[in-house]
Amino acid sequence: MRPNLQAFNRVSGQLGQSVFEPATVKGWEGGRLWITSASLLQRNNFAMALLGGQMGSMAEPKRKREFYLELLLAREVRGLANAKDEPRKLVHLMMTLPEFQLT
Amino acid sequence: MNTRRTFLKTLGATGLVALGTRPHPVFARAARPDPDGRILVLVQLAGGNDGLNTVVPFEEDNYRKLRPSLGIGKGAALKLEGALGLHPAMQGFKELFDDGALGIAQGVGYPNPNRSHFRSMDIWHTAKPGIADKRDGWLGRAFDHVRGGLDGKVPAVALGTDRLPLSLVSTKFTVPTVRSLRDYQLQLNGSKAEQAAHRARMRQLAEGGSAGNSDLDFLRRTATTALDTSAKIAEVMSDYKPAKPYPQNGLGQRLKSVAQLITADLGASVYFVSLGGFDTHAEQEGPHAGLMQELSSALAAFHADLKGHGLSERVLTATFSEFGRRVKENGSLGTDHGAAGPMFFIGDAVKAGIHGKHPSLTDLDQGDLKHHTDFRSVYTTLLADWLDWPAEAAVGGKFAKLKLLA
Repeated sequence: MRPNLQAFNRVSGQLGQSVFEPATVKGWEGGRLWITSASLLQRNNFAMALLGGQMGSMAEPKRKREFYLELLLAREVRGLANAKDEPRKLVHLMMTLPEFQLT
Repeated sequence: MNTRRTFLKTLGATGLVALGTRPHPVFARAARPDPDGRILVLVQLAGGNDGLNTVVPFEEDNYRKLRPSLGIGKGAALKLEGALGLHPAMQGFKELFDDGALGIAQGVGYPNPNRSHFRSMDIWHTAKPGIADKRDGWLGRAFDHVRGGLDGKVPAVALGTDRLPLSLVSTKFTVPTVRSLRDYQLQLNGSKAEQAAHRARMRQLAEGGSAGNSDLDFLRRTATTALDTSAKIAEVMSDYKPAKPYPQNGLGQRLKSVAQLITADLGASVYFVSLGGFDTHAEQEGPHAGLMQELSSALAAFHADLKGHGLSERVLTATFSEFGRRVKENGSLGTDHGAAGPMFFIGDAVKAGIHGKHPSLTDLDQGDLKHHTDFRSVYTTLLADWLDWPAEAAVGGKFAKLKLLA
């Protein structure tokens, strides 16, 4: 995977998280203050952009549900117990979960 | 705090409001929209607008004398009241004025005016003329005080700016910047049906947040709001019909996006847009006329559009610029950095007309107009009388309010 740093900088800037450049000299408070309905949508879209082909091929391990759960959430999540989605969709669902924002 | 709301509720309870089929005008006027639904749109005129050629004192001797080439004559100015007129390219503002939807505060500024763009703009954004403290902005500080009531709601949206404007910076809140409405749409791959199915799964997985105060409850509530809002914005965008066409200029298109977000009920209380190019040091006549036309036509269309959607009562638009320009034109058919200038207010709630005298053209401060109205008085009025937010901490003190609202 070769991340596109320009795209990353643009998105983090929109989210008020420009690296080394906090919006105020006080720095970031973080926590809930990162989250609004708008920033969550931008996070969702960033997850989609990451998964939308710029990443090369997605790994499709044998037990992909367990593999990605372990990788991204490190816990079981209700609603995904029997998910059989193809990898990109599955990972997007995981990355847009409210639980994922807490990890 | 909410005395007006409480008062109206009491009125309703006693049956006073429901006396006749048509409310008495006094009550009709009092029945302003609930403060929670009120919206402030700020339009920044970046570069220092030549206020003197925007609201023109065409009969002043000194105006004609100090503006021999750039002065706008009595015949050309669009008449407002007395010997004041608008720049000839501001037909849209003239119509708003005649319709009772435009208020003009004259001579707005601050003590010891600073003629640097950056410093003066920072002063307008931070409301701190005395000290260079750029930690947060005047609206950002106001969000801090309504924070408990926001709960994941977007307090403000800056549309089309590269960076978050300092006025919206809060030490406690992250305000997103939005390049275009695309940022508010959920971007998914696949066919329409696949996208709808995926969106439904996301919604389902996010649901189930209780009104509790855990971080997860908060995230669930915000995530479902986000998905619902983006669906609504997509719906609004797909068949949005402005009540009046917007001009094909930058400000017009940005304001159209703002109108769409308001129509989709995004829930933000403040919207911020900017128009640049006002630093007219040379050959200003053509470019300034273009800017006056863009500002006036865009805001007239915005107001008409909101009116058509039944929203013009809920939205108040205010313009500001970091400074006006010097009274005397320079040798390059332009004007240099000055001081006090006018602010415009648009909306059904506005007390239409001219607020305050035109600053004197004979009693000048080193060749600049003297302000008689502190910009923090205007901010205090917008916060206290319009948004119903605490003003004192936001503007750093007690400032007399103006009668800007009807």
